[in-house]
Amino acid sequence: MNHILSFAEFLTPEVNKVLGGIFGVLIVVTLAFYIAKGIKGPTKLINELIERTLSWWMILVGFAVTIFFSRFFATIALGFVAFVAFRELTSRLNLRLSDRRTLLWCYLSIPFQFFLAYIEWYGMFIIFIPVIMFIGLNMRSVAQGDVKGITASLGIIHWASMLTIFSLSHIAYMLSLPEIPGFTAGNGAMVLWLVLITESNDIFQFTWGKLFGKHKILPSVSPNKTVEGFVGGLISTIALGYGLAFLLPVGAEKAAILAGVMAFTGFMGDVTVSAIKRDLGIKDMGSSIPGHGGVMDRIDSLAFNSMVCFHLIRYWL
Amino acid sequence: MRLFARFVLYRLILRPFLSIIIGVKFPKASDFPEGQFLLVSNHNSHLDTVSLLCSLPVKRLKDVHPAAAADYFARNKTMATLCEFFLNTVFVRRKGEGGKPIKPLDELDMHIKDGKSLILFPEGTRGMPEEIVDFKCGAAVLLQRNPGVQLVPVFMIGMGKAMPKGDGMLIPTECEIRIGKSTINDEIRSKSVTELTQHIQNEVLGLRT
Repeated sequence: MNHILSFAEFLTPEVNKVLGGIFGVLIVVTLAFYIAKGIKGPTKLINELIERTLSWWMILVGFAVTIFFSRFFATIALGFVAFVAFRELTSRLNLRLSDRRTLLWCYLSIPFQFFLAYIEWYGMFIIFIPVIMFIGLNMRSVAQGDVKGITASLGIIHWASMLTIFSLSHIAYMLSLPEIPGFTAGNGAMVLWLVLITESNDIFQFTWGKLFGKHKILPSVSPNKTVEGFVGGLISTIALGYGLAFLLPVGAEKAAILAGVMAFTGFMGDVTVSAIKRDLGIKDMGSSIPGHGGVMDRIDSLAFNSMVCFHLIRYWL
Repeated sequence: MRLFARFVLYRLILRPFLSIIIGVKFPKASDFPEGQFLLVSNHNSHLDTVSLLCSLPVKRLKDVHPAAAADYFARNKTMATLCEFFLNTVFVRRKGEGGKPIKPLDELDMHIKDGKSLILFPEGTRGMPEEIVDFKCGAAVLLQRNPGVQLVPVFMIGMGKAMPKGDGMLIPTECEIRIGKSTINDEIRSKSVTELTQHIQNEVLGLRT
């Protein structure tokens, strides 16, 4: 009951400082775009940038309000995001009508997985989707008796569970970790570092690529990704991760290493979802966030990074 | 009383549930034209009628009526009363009683003459998801007999996967209701019934992509 009623649980001075900084940057950017619109008039590019920025406001306010005030509501909110992302994926991935009961099992596994994260039962949390649900999903699909196309369905459904439910539940578990001696920033700070580094890496890669991009890194998957963008992003992300190391309990050097690893795995998550969208011939996985596509389009790199960040920190502790 | 019950059911309960949990994307209320209309849509699921009623502008909940087969939805009295109360249905008899021939279109025509707007599923039945069977000619006949009534073509995506025929289990699946603007004018209206039916079907299918 204590946890449910607690208020501003993760708003430590460190977190407040960084959150304030992020909102400051966003205010400056928003003002700059509106001023540009006032001077040059409403062009298509400016309107698109403003739409994106307003969505960033929505995402950031939603993120700050749900994650840092109470662990209980943060867990529910993360579970809901995983639910929407899973629904987006499975709606588009050409599943069969006979897979509907298997999907129902996956939907029922979401509250259970996040409950395990909430009560910090690590042993069960870490095997529930990869082992228990893995066997359960196969069992349920086979029991349905429709074998035509079952190989693809089994693969798709378990992959989607891992990418959305399992990965995002790591963020919920990160909030539940027991107190670390001598670390005052709190568990919310670790989540803030994870999300900030992941999203910044996307933005850094995009910006470096726009400025200096020449050599395409994966032309058949994502024509906008360049070697220059990737390397520029990697270096900037390591610098930012090092600078914000006070949000992590592992020290500045390890924070820099972690940021470097995450620049790579975030890139992998991004291009994996891009590859699947290209396979399906669609531009966005959904349309729930104006200017950003669906939830899955926004959390593609976070899906990989949440697992990487959680397990490396846990290994170093 | 009925209207209030429907408002509570559709706007306050079903619409939030369908959009947040199931993932139905509703159209804007302004996509529906003012005045009397004949709404024509593909049909894959029992969700279709409910989602259409959820997307109607509140003030139209009174005069928009889905047409339902009497032999299925009015097979007993309780069912018929419930359908009329909550879904606002008008029943169409497909089979005559005691060998008397029946003209279902005349009954629908009568409802339109009363000023009602109707929802029709001209495929006749719920088919497999995302598969369309050829439209029946009823909508075309009704449009020709009532020149003042507008056509509203609607295409629904995903409903048959969220709740297919013969399976009552609802599974969250992203669905969308797309409302088109009809290009029907007096010239097209005066063509043959077959051609007009084909035109209506093309307008509905044109919303697919």
